[in-house]
Parts: sequence; C-alpha cells; structure tokens
Amino acid sequence: MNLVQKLSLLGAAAKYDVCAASGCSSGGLSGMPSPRSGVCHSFLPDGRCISLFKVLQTNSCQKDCFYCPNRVQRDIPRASFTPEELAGLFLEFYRRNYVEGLFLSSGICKSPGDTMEQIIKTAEILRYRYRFNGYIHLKIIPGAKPEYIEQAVRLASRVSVNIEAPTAAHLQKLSKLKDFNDGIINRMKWINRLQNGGLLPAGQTTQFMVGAAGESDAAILKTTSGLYHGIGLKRVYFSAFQPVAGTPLEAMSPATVLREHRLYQCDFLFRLYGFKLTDISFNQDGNLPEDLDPKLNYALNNLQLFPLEVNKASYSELLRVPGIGPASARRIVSARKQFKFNTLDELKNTGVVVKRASPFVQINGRYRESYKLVQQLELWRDSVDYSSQRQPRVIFQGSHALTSV
Amino acid sequence: MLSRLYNGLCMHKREFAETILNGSKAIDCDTMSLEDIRERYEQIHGTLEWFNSKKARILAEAVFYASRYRSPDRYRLISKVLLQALEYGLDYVLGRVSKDARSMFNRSRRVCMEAHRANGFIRLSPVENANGRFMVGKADFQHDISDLVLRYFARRHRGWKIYLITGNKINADIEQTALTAQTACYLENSVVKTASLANLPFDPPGDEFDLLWETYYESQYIEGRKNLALARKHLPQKYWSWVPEGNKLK
Ligand code: SF4
Repeated sequence: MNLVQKLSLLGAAAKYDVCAASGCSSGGLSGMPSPRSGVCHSFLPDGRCISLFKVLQTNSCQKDCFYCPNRVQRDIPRASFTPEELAGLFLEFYRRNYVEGLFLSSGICKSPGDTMEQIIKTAEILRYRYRFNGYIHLKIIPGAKPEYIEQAVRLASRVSVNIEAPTAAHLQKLSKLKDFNDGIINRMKWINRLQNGGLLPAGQTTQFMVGAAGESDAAILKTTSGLYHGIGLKRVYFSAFQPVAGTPLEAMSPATVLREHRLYQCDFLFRLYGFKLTDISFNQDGNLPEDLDPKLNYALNNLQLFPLEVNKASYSELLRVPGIGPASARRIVSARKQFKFNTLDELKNTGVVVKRASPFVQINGRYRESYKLVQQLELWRDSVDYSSQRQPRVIFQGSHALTSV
Repeated sequence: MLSRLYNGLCMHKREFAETILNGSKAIDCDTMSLEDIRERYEQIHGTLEWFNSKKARILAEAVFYASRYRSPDRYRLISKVLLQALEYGLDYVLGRVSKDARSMFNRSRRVCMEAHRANGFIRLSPVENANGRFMVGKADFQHDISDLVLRYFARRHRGWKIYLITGNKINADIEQTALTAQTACYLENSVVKTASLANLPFDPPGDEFDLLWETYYESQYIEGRKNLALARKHLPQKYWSWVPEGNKLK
C-alpha cells in the first residue's frame, strides 16, 4: 500500500475522534480572538474544523467495539504507518501550514504495550530528531502499562483515554473486551497524578460516544461532572454515534448532532458558568430537552431568581441569565464601578444578547414591558407548534419568563 | 491625551491625507514623545496611575489592532474612545458601554480575526536554492496586517525567509505606492518590503504535496453531518482561493 492509500485509510479511521488544540495557548489580553490563539487551518463540508493532523498509527485492532469501523471482526483493508513515515508526513503538513499539530490515535495491534511503543516512537522522532516543539495529542491505549503512560505524558502536550460510555454497564454494551474501571478510569487517575507533577501543558481529555449504548444525557453528564471534579480533566468531548456498515450497531439510528450540541452546552455551563449537575434539568427519560437551550431551561425552572438588577447582581448571578456570558458579565461588573446602566443599548454594547436576557433582567429598576419579548421567549422552543397552543402566560409580576404552555 | 490637551485630532503626518479634516484641527503626533505628552497632561489634568495598569495594556492592545482597520475614520474613532477613557475611566471603555467603544473593539476584533484566519489559511510552499530557503504563500488582506502575518510565519519557520504574494497594494506603510499587479511582500530588518514577481530570488513554486492534502481532507469528511452553511461561515468565500480545498465548499 502506498503512502496516499495509507493516508486515506488511516485518516478516515480517525475521523470520529474529536479534538481541539485548545488549552495550549491563550487569546489576547482583551479576550479577542488573538492571532496567537488556537488556529483552524481548514473546514470540512460538515462544518468541523481541521486544526490537527488526526490519524491512526494503525487500523489493525484486536478489540471488538461494536460501533467501530476498525473492530477485529470486520473484513477491511488494514494498514500501519511506521513511526518514521508518520513523523515525516506530519512534518510536511505542518511546514506547509496545513495543520497546527498532531493528534495520534491507534487501533490496538498485538497488545496495548506494542501499540503504545509505536505511538511513542513517532512522538520521539518529532520531538528529538525534528525538534518539533508544537502541539502533540497522544491517545493512551486502554490497559497501557504505567511506564508507557509516563513516557507518553512526557512527550505530549495533551493525552486522552476515551471513556466512550458513562458506566461500566454501558461500556459492556459496546465492547466485551474493554475494562471500564481498570483499563480506563485507573489510567486517567495515573495520568492525573503525572500531570500534577507539572507535565502535560494542555491537560488530559476524554470522549464519549453519544447514543450508542442507550445511555441517557443525565448519565453522561453525571460522569462528565465527576471527571472534571474527581480526576481533573481539562475537557470532555462528545461524538454523536454514526452507525457504520458491517458492525453490530449498523441498524441503529444515529444520534442527532443537536443532542451532541446540547451536551456541549451543558459542558460549557459546568466549566465556564459555575453550574452544577443539580442545576441542569432533564426530561423524565433522563435526556436534555432538545428544543430548549439548557441555560434557558434553568432560568425557566428557577423563575424565583429573576428578574436580576444588572446594576447590583454579582458576577456569578449574571452568569445565570440567558444571553449573558462570562465576557459580558465581566464587562458589566467592571463598568458599573463608575457607571450605572440605564438602557438596553448599553447592555447590548457590552456583548449581552438582549433579546435573550431582557425578560430576565431589570435595568436600574426598570424592565421592558414588551409583550413581543414574551412571545420571542416562547419562540425559542424550536419544536413547538404555535398554531395549536394557547397564549403564553406571564408567571409573576415583573418577569416575562414563562412556564411551558 | 493629545486630543484633550490640544482639543484636536492627533495623527501621523501621512494620515492627514486620509482625513476629511482641513488640517488646522489636526496635530502631528510624530513631533512629540509619549513621555512629554504624559508629563504635560499630568500637569494639567492630574496623575494617570492607570496608565501603567493591566487594564491600560488591554486597551493598548485593542487600539493596536483597531489602528490597522482600514477605514478613513480609524484614528478619529480611536481618539474618541481614548478621550472617553480619560473622562469616564478605563472600565467604561473596556466594558464597551459606549457605542464608540463597542465599535472600536469590534474593529479590533475584526482585524484580529483576519490575522487569525490568515495564520490558519495561508498555505506555504518551500523553495530552496542558492539564494537561500524560502517559504512562499499567497494572500490578500483587507486590513493592514501583512507585517503581523509575516512575523507570525517567521517565528514558526526560523531560518526560512517568508514571502507572501499579493494581488493588491497591501499596506499603506509600504514604501512603494502604485502596486496594482501581483507583488510579493517580505520582511527585511523587521520592515515590510515589496518586490515585483520578476525580481524574486526564486521561481514561484508549484507543490506536489497538494495531492496528499486533498486525500487527507477527503478522508476526514463525515457525510452524516453535512453542514455546508457552517463550513462557509468559518471559511468564507474570500478565502477559498487560498486553500486547495476551497472549491469543495461551493
Ligand atoms: S479499541 Fe475499539 S474503538 Fe479503538 S480501534 Fe479498536 S475496536 Fe475501534
């Protein structure tokens, strides 16, 4: 197999892995997208960015993950890059400014140890022979021994072990050969200990395969919250399940991109807005409502907290208002040291999405008495059939927030 | 500070040409040093403790990028915002409470965004010959960012000289003025210079590596998630000619 064929095969085999070269560089002082912060080098027709050269060392694998195109039972062409080949190819992409860094994963060929050796050799060639000091994300193979993990952590900017499912029972539905507690969670804990020793500038991440094991959003987010607080993960990624022909899950429906999006919104609420798992509201089946932004859902379920006076509310209270993000909350708190907000326009100038925020705030004791806003609020419930609904209802005096109709 | 001291608009000499003002109200800021201005300002209006703070640096960064935004009123807007900072305090403008502050920060953001995209979307081809080692790319900028982009690539490719081939006049700071055909810009002693394509120290390169890239690009696409509108939002049409895969977003 020539290099182009290998690239096509091993690139495609890695396309479901989610990655971002975030956490290795910061934006500008003023919080603008600085020319220094993580760079995207291209965008695919599916809207995802290419910033890293994302590829497998090999697609040969002895595991049986039911959703995976590389599973051992599948009859497909198999290929491997030698460490020299892969390091050289990456460097040519990097030199030409096609990519910002390397994201290297692999099928488990022979044993976790053998596979880790190949991955580590590739990273060593880049770091020591080519003196590449940019971004390298290495996948840790579930079940890899501590000495391999330590070597990988020393070479990489970021490492990850894919968790795939929220519990051992769910993982059992995806693979008979993977061990949730020892193979995955324990490895994450080892990495965390190494990271606390000052290694891994971009931290440790993981990824869920969403919707393949019949798990609920509540289960995913419970584990996510535990990973952030208990094991110090930097990011958790979600990949909507897409059925692959010739796998046991080929007849299953794909998970919607909207479900993945709602999970990411909750993840942002955890990481940047100070939300806890108990602040998130789920449907009775344990899933997030797909037709409602989780932060708006929170506000609607906690109407007693609103409307908030923007001239008095604390930073963390402002973060609870739909349409106010960390940057605008910071600006409001800082500007009002010398200034009193009087109009919606002033609020808008700080970056607040006033269409969303205005039903939940007062400005200098006043709020907008616009019925249009009430209707707008209801329109955010994307999937509601308005023709068949009664008029929206104002919950309490002074707020335009609504219950569901 | 200058504006407030002299009740006028401050500009560099060459910028007078860009303004619709009749000149009498404009002050040539090339004739004074920052320390002199600060000293005079503090004598009249009191001390400027905030001038050395982190917040002042944030404002300075925003001004730095906003001053590269191509528009005849760029300096006028910056002067207005700085006056507001002096009058109402830094938090007022950093909070973007006024329309002017918001507008200046937006401009600053757009310039940053262009530089950010240029850093990502410009493709470079290596050329080595007796004259040296060169990395050659193509780009056309809307704002005055060619020096920022050249410096970015120079840091990334130490030991290589970076040339960007552009189709237009790229930067008002560049010594040559009447450039309409394709030219190349490069850094010499930290200053942006231009050269006509006929005078380059290398033949414009072609790159067989494009095939490998196209193979890789195609391998990453997930049909089930197709979302061309999102892709076009992040990679606007303006950049399609910069990247070999641009035609796939049509
Ligand atoms: S370990 Fe599982 S997910 Fe990873 S390549 Fe093998 S079969 Fe696929």
